Amino acid sequence: MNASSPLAALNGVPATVVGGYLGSGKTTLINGWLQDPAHRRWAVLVNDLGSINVDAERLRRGDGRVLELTDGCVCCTLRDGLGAALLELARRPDPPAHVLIETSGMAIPERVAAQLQLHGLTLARTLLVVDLERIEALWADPWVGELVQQQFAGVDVLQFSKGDRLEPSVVAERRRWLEQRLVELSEHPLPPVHEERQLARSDLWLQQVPISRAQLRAWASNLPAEVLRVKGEVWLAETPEGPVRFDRVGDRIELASAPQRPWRSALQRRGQLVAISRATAPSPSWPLAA
Amino acid sequence: MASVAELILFGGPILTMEFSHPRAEAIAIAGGCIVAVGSKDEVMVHAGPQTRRVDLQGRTLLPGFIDAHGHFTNALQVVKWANIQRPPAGPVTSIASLQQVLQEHVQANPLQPGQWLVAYGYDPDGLSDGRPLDKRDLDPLFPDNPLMLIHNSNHGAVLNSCALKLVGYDASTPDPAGGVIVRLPGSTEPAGLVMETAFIPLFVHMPKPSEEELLERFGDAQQLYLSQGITTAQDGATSAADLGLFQKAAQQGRLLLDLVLLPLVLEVPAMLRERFPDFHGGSLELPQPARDAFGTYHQHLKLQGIKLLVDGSPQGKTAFWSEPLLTPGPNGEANWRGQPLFPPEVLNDTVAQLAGQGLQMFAHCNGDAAISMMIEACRKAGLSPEQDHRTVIIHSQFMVPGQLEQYVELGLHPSFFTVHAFFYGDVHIANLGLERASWMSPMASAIALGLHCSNHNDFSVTPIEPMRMMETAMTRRSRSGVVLGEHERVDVNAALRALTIEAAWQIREEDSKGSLAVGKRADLVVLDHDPTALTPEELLSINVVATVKDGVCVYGDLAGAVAG
Repeated sequence: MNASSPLAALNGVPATVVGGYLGSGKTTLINGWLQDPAHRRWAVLVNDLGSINVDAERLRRGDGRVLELTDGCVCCTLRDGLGAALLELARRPDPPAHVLIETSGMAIPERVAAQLQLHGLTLARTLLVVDLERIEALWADPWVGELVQQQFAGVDVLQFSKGDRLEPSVVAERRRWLEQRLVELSEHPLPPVHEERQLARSDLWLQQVPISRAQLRAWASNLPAEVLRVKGEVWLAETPEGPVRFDRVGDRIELASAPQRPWRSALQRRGQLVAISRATAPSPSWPLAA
Repeated sequence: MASVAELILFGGPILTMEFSHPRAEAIAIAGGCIVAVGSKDEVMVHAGPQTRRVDLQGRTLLPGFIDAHGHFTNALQVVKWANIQRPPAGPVTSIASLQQVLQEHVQANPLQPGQWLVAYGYDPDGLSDGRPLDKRDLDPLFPDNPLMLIHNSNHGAVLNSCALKLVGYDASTPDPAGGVIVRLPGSTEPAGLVMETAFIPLFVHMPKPSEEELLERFGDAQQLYLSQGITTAQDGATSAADLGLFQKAAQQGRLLLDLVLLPLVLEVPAMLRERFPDFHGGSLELPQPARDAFGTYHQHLKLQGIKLLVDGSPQGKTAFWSEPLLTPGPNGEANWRGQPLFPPEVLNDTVAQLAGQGLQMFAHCNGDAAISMMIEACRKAGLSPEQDHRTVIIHSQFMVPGQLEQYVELGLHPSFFTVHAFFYGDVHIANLGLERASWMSPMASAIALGLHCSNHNDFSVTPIEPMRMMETAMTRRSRSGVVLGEHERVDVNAALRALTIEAAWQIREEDSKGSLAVGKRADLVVLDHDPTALTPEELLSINVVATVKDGVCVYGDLAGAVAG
C-alpha cells in the first residue's frame, strides 16, 4: 500500500477479525471487550449480512465507533462495503487505534482478514466464536454445514461460547468431537482455544535483523503455555531471498523450508510475527537477534 | 361522443398481447393513454382535425417492453465505461481489437493525468489470440493512467502496471485467501488479472462520481433502455444512497421512462433511519408511511417491493445447489455446491416479517437449494395464492422437478433468465452436466402450470436485448449450438408475453401496461419487422424504429427511418 492510497491513514493499524456463525455469541463477547477502557479508541465494523443488522442496532452506542457494512455480492452491486467503511475511518481526523471487524455469520473470516491485509492494515488476530451447543448440528446442517466448516480455515484462535449451558462432560465430549472433525479437515495445526471471556492478547514483533533457523526453533520451543499461537513471516539468515512462513500452536511448529515470495525490496527486509496469548498473560519474549 | 385522439397509428401489424383480440389494425392515443384499439373503422372515429396520423408502413407496433429484472444503477456506471465484450454484446475479438476499443474510447472521452480508465465485459474465451490478456498488452497504451478491465464475471479484472502500483500489488504480495493475483510465467510478478478477494480492494481506489455527474448520466443511461423499446426499467437492488439519487432525478424531471425500484433488504434499515429517524420498530418493520410509499408512481418513479438475495451466480459458481458441481469451486474446492448468502433462519424470519406487512418480495434464487430455502421460508410464512402476494422468484434458474408445483401451491411466480442458454449454456453444461443444465429457466413447464412468467436480462450482467430474450426462450441454444432442454422451448407469443403483460403483472401493472387496451398507458414500441413472422434466429436482426412513452416519442422517429 503506497502513501497516496486513500487508506494511507490506516496503514499498519492493527485489526482483529471476529467470525462465527449467526447466533454464536460474537456480539456478546465484543460488547464485553469494548467496555474495557483500553479499547476506547477502537473502531468496530459490523457486517451483519446474515442477521439484517439486528446486531448492529444492539451494538450501536451513538458514539461513532460502530460502522455497518452492508455489502452483498460484489458482482451485483459493484461496490465494496468493507472498503467503503475503511475509507470513512481513514477520513476521520483521529484514526482509530485498532479496527475490530465482526464478520457476518455467513462470512469466511480468513477472507475478510486477507482483504484487510491487502488494504494495508496489520492483522492482530482472527478469532472464531464457536457455539458449543449448536456446533454438531450446524456442522451437518444441509443448508449451511459446508460453510460452517469452511469458517475454521486460517483462524488463529477458537473461542467457545454457550458451554455454560451444558454439562461439563458434554463440553469435553463435544470439544473432542470438534477436534477430530478439524483434524480430518486440515493438515494444519488445530487452532488453540482461548478460555477466558476477555479478548485474547495480541503482540506484534517486527524483526529488523536476521536470525538462524536453529535460534528460531529454540525460542519457539521454549514459549510458555499461555502463548496460544505465534504466526507470521521471519527473516532467516539461511534464506536471504525472502521471508519464510512460521506457525506455532502448542508444541507443533510449522516452518517453511523456503520463501514463497521475494522481499518487496532488498532494503525492506523484515520479519513480522504475531503472538496471541491468554488475556491475562504478560507480553511475550521475542527471539534475540544474532 | 368519441374522445379526439392526438395520435393514431395504423398500416402495420399491431400485436396487442390481449387474448381476446391479439391483433388490431389501428390504435388511437390521447392524454398519454390508449383511447381506442381495433379495426381501422373503429379507431378512426377518434380522428379530429388536429390528430396526427402515422402510417406504420408495414412496421410492427407492440406494447413497450418491461424490464422484469435488472439494475438501472449499473447503467449509470456503464455509460462511462468502455465496452470490451465479445460479439454479439461488444466488438472485441482479439487483443488488438480490444486495444483499439480502448483507444477509441479515450479519443471520445479524453483522460486527465492519473484518471482511471474502466472497461467492462473482458472475456478471455472471446480472444482469437489463444492466450489471455496481460499487463504488457496494456502498458504501452496509457502508461500514466490506471486501467481496470472488469472480467465478465464481475468477480475480477485485468490491471495495467499503473493500476497494480496504485493498489500496491507487486512480486512480494502473496495471494489473499479466497482470491488470486495471477503471475507472469516463471515469476511472482503480477500479470494483470486479479480475482475475487484480490479484486474487491480495488474499489477504494476508484473515483466516486459526484451526485451532479450521476444525475447528468440519466439521459444516456435511459437511452440504453429506450433504444431497445423498454419503457419501464427496474433497479433491482436499490441501496439507501441510490434511493436519494433516484428521487432527486425524478424531482428534476429527468425520467423519461418509468423506473421501478426494489430496495435491497440489507439497505432497508438504513433507508428507514434516514427518512424516519424517530421511528423505532424492528429492523424490518416499516412505519405506515413507508409501506404506503410502495406501489405508486411519483414523477415516473415507484417503489414496488423488497429485493432478497438468497444465493450468488451460477457462472461464478456462487449459486447454491443441492448436488455438487462436476467442476471445482471458485477457489478450487472439491464437491462444491455453492452456499446461501443468508442463514435459513434469517431468511424465514425476513420473509415472515415482510409478508406480514403486505410487502411484495422479489427473491434472487439461482440454484435449486436456494429455491428450496425460499420455498420453505414462504411455506413457514403461510403464503398462499389467494393472498395475491405475487412473490417473484428472480432467475428461478436451476430448478429441479417438483419445485414449480410448489410455486403453484404457494403462489410464487418466476422471472426467468433465458439468455443464459446463449451466454453461459456451455459453461453450465460443463459444470452441471447436460441433464441438470437443461432444467435452467423451465419456462414451458411453468406456463403449462399457469404461472406468470417474465423474462429478464439482469442488466448489466447481460446486455439489454429483448430480441435475444425471445430468441433464447424459443431456442434455448448455447453459443456452441447445444439446445438446453428442448421441451422447455416456448412459442413466439409466450416469449413476447414474458416481456410485456406477464412482466407487468409481476409489478402489479397489468391494468395499465403490458398490452394494448383502452385505458392503458400509451407505452409502445415500433419494430421494423413483425417478430411473429420470423424464425427465432431472424429475431436478432430486428431493429427498434421508435419508442413511445405515455404517448410521446422518446426514441427514434415514428414516421422516419430506422433509428441508428
